[in-house]
Amino acid sequence: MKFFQQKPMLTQLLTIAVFVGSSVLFLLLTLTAWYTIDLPTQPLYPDTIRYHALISGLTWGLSISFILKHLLLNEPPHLYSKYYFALLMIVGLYFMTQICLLCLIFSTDLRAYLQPIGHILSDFNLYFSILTLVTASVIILGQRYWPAKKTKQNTAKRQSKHKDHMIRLIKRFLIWDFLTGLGQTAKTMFQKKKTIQFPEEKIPVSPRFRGLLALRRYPNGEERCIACKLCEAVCPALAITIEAKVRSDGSRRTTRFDIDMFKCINCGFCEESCPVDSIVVTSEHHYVVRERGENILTKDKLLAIGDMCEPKLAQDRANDQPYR
Amino acid sequence: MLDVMFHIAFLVLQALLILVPVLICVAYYTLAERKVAAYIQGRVGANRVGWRGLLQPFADALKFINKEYIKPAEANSGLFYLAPIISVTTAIAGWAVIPVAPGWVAADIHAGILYIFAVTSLGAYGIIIAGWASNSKYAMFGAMRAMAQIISYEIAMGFALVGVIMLSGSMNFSDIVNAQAGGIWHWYLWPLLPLFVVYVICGLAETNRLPFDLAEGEAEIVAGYMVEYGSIGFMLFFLSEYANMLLISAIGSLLFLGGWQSPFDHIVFLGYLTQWVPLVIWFILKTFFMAFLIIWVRWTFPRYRYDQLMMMGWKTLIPTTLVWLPLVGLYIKVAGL
Ligand code: SF4
Ligand code: SF4
Repeated sequence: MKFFQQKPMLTQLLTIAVFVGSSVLFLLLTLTAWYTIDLPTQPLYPDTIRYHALISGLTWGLSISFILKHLLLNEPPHLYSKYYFALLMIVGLYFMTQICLLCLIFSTDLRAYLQPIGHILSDFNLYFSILTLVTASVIILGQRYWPAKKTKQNTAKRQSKHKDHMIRLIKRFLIWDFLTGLGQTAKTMFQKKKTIQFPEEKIPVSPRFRGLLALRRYPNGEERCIACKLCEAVCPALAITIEAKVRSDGSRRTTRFDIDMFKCINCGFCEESCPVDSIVVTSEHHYVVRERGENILTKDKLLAIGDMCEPKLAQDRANDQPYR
Repeated sequence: MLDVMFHIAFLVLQALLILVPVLICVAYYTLAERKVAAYIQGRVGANRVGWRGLLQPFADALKFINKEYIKPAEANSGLFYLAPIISVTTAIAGWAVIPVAPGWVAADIHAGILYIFAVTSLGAYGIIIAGWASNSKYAMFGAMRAMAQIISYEIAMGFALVGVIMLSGSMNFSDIVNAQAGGIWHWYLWPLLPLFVVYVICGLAETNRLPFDLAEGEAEIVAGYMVEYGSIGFMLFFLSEYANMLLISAIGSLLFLGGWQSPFDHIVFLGYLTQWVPLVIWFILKTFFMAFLIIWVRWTFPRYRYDQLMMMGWKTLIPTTLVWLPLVGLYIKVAGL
């Protein structure tokens, strides 16, 4: 290692020699493989094989010399490292296809069965070769023509700038970002769906949810409200209107108890202020107002809602009890 | 006399044979779009009308038909009504030369590709007339953007198709498909992969689809050239847009994916297994794949900015095709095709 590191010129020459040698070797190998063994059926592109072999040979030589140089100089692939590894991966794939192809050609028994696959492989092979060549040349040219200028202050900055530029170029060439984006959405497509099918399924509601208002009764059926008008006083939206009179049995009761749903902001202050726990906010919130005037909840309606929601209210309170 | 009548009846029947399946496909394409969009966003999508929402497109169509057709007071009434009709006619006329299986084509004309080009370019008139006749600034902007975009991308698309014409030596769709016979590795997709990518991108731009739907850009110009349209007018534009997308997919599958050719031809085992499949099925599958790709792209990428769009068209796509075409020529020369 030291030896080669001290003599960069020699290493350079050696790399070039290896490049030329392995290129020619592989070219000859591919050519002989194609020409000496007579395929029973026509190969895919009869006259492109030479061309094919040339590109394969060049790529192969290039990859070997690349790897060799970095091994000899013991330098990690630093500048364009991500793409360097991508290149190596492509080379690996290419190598595999090449091997498969050769095995295929030399094995006569399997030939009939595997030939179509061989065709596919040879096509991909060509493709990978071109891709590798292009990537490699872009990287080499990038290192050569856009080197990081060595000024004292901003070497690192410039380096990263050039690196970004190169990476952007290669990414753009391979439409890398687009493919990752598509992959991302493809992944989400098979995720579990988060839809809640509303009328059939409902979102869980907190026991403290402040929804529709209601008036409660005692278990014996007597309404709780004592017409103290605290709720009317506390209501920040002035949604409550109460009129009261003495009932025949002498107790004070409301004669009118209207809540305007349009004004009410569901703050729940009325519930908090009520001394007899009469007015409450229930967890019911799926309601509609179909006609004008329906938005006024009269006393009867409020009591009816209270009757309806009593079991739910009791349950909510029980659930909430530990936290009160 | 009877002969002529018979001939006319035959022509009408032929037209219906194209029209009805295309319209049904378009209807379900809209549903597919909604479904795929929903799936990509982790939702379920339309599933209330009919079994799993299968009747949704018809419900939508009924809704559109029931709506009032509103014409802005200042709009140019003749042109205003004409624009959607032009759009939808040209979108459907293109289907006349699309072969779905050997011999299954209404008009097997020699210059099919040229015809398609001419007809889809005419479709741009629908857009620009709509923009002009609506007498609204948003519609005008939308139409202008659409025009600029279609003109710039048509060049790159033309170049992409030139590659196919060079390789096959024909402008007839049936010939082009026949030239790709013999399994998946004979498709023009492989030698022309960059051109295929260019074609797909241009196809998206031509049909004003995201990420190139500047002509509609909801955020800036509401709905672009169709902002003043409601009811049937809107439906026709919608229909023409989706018919165009399907047309682009069909052309893509014919030119690059081998049309009705089975991908497994000449593959020992699979080829035998899939021999019974009718050839139309392959064509339909490939077209649907392309159509799915278009939807998929739409729900993945955000919209391009206008200058980015122009830059991509002129500075990336056209040079790519210009580089690849000589390479294709060289390839043909070397391979002696
Ligand atoms: S919830 Fe608030 S706004 Fe509504 S009636 Fe009670 S106090 Fe008034
Ligand atoms: S605070 Fe309670 S008791 Fe007093 S008026 Fe209001 S609902 Fe009736």
